[in-house]
Amino acid sequence: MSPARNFLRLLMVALALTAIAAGCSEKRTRIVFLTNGSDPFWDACRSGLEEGAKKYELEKAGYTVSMEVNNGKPQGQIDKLRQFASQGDVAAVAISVIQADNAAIIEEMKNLQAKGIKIITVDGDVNREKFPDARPYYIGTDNIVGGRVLGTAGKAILESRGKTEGGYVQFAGFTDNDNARNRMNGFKEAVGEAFTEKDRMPDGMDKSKARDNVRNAIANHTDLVALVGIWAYNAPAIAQVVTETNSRDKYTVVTFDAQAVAIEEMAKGNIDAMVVQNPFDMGVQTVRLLKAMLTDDQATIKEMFPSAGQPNGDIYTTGLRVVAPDGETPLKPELFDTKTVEFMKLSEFREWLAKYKLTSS
Amino acid sequence: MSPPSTSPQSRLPLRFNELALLAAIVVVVIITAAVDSNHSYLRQPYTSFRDIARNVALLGIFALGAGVVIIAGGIDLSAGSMIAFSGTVCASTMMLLAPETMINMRPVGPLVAFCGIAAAILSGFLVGTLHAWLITAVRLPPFVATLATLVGLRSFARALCGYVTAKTLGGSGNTEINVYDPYFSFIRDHIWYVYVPVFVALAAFTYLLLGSTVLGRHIYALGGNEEAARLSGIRTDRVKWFAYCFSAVTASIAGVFYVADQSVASPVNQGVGYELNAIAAAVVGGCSLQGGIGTVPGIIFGVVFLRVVIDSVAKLIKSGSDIYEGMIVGIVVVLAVTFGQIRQIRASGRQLFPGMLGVIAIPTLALSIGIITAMTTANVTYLKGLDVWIGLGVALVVLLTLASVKLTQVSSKP
Repeated sequence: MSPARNFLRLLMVALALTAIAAGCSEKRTRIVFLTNGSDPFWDACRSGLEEGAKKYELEKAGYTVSMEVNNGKPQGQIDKLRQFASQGDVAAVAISVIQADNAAIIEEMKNLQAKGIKIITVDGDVNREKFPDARPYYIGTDNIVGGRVLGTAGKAILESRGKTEGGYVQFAGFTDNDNARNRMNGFKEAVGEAFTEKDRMPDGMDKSKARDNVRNAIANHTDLVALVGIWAYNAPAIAQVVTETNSRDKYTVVTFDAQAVAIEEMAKGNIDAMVVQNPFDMGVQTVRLLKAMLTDDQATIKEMFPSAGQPNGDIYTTGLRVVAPDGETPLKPELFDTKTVEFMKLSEFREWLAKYKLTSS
Repeated sequence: MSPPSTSPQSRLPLRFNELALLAAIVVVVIITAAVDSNHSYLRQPYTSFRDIARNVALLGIFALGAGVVIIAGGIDLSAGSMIAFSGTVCASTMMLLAPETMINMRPVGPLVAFCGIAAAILSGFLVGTLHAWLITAVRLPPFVATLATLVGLRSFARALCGYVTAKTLGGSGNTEINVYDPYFSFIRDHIWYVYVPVFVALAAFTYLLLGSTVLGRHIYALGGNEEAARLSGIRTDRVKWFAYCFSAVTASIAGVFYVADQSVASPVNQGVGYELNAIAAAVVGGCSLQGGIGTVPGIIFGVVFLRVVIDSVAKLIKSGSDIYEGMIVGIVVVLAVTFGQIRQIRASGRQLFPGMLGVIAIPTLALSIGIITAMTTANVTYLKGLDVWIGLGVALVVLLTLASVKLTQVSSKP
């Protein structure tokens, strides 16, 4: 028999086996969480997914949950969404959208929905005004509120230091990402017009670039009074650059999220306030909602979204914490709306992390 | 080939393209110092110098490796992934040796830190060996072999990170490993004690290796003509083994430094695309992608030139500089390499703008440079409002200059 025939036979056997395998995996059982990039923030969320799977007995319902880490680029999310569409076992997808206005990502999300795959956004939403039908629900921080909380904290610290005007720069991975944009807008609104936004500097999730951005901001804007970290890794980047340049006393440093390194930097006095989201709870609530959607559990959906159908009724807000350093700080719990914000000193926050075996949030 | 002693130019301490690059660096620095509204280079010379030195050292370390491979007639596309891989190997080794200490972000001690760094550098040697085996024994083209590891190593690093953190922390593993050891903080905070001396030592080693050793001459010979080198008795496989190991080891050293710089090993996005920066620096510095040509001073000037231009863009365009950075760096890379070849173009009698291709290229270049000038000057505080006029003026000057070059070439044609 000729080698060509042998090859053709092998090919046919392989195709037949593939077809059988495809037939076997028809049942959609997998819930996938797609991140926007790599960050310890998502490790805490992954722990939440595992906790949610236990708490809401996901396995008993015939589903599993896993996390897919994107490479920090929109193309990465588009490719992953296309893969999910072609994999027969994906039942539901939760995604932290990397670019709120990216039509290609939205298109792939709609394709998944058209195939009957449930899809929600978590942490990073789509632009709701432009693409209202891209997803039915969003779980995460109300980022505008988060930005306002950070702005309120920043303003209080600046005023306690006798600063009533000056410039600030905001740092994020992408400035056109929905959560980054909302946080920055919220900060700008709350800190007030007396302080001028000098720049919004994106780093494309390159941590070396994040540090270079802080160095350039300090060199370029001589009237800066505050440095604002919008994404989790921006906090250690700012803290370490102000240490390296011996300029800590010149700037108020306020940041989002609490990476393990950022927590250490706050303990060393290099960060004045952190507004901390709850990625652990985002993970838990993601499992809760997607299981309810997959099993048509309308009671749970109603409980999570009591105002569904009304403006912003499709948003489930996970809590925010303001973490202040131990010792003297101008930040007080009464500065914030206690319904949405929990105020904590650093040592209390560390105790909370230890309770759930987390190193960051 | 360009072993230093065989060329009459070697009587000069620097070659033509190296002198041109040095002059270009000085010009960029002077322009930045003068045009920057904050005059950062004049008011804060130490801080500015230190920031550029840090980035030069970090890029320079693995650009030297990329340069040696290019001179040897190969290419290493895997440097960025090697950086991520070696950083992950370093952090994973420390995590396995001292899990509790790493999780609680306490000092791991000199022995564990040493083991982590040694494992990272060993991983570089092993990956370099793998490259050499794929290229010399399996006979894969260097482009394909290192393209495979460019993709594969990052994925391997991600899997390793997940596996090690799952083993040590439980659960399904993490995507990053925090490194908060004082030895690594020391590396980050004292660039004059570690980054810069390591870069200088590596540059001196490479300079001596290429210029004063038999192996160095064999590297040039291999890059110049592999067949001739083999027939003359050079064990080319061994030379390639050294070149690819040197490249991977320099990238692994850079990987450890990036972990120190960022306090984290992050395999997903650490070092993404950095291999192209290293190759660009080597090419700007005069290394020929055909092999056999290139010098260590050239590579160093190439690195300094790239970093100075990037810093200059950030200083001159104060807000949103990242938008223009790639565009401007791309242009200066093309200009630098073209300028370095001007003498060869003249000597060969070749036209820079031949025929219809040249006729269309001239207005295209003038228009592009004019638009870029207008867009960038719109952000320079001193020049606000004049952007369109400056752009038009620059476009016109470029158009007339290039047209006169074309006319001169046409009229001087025999």
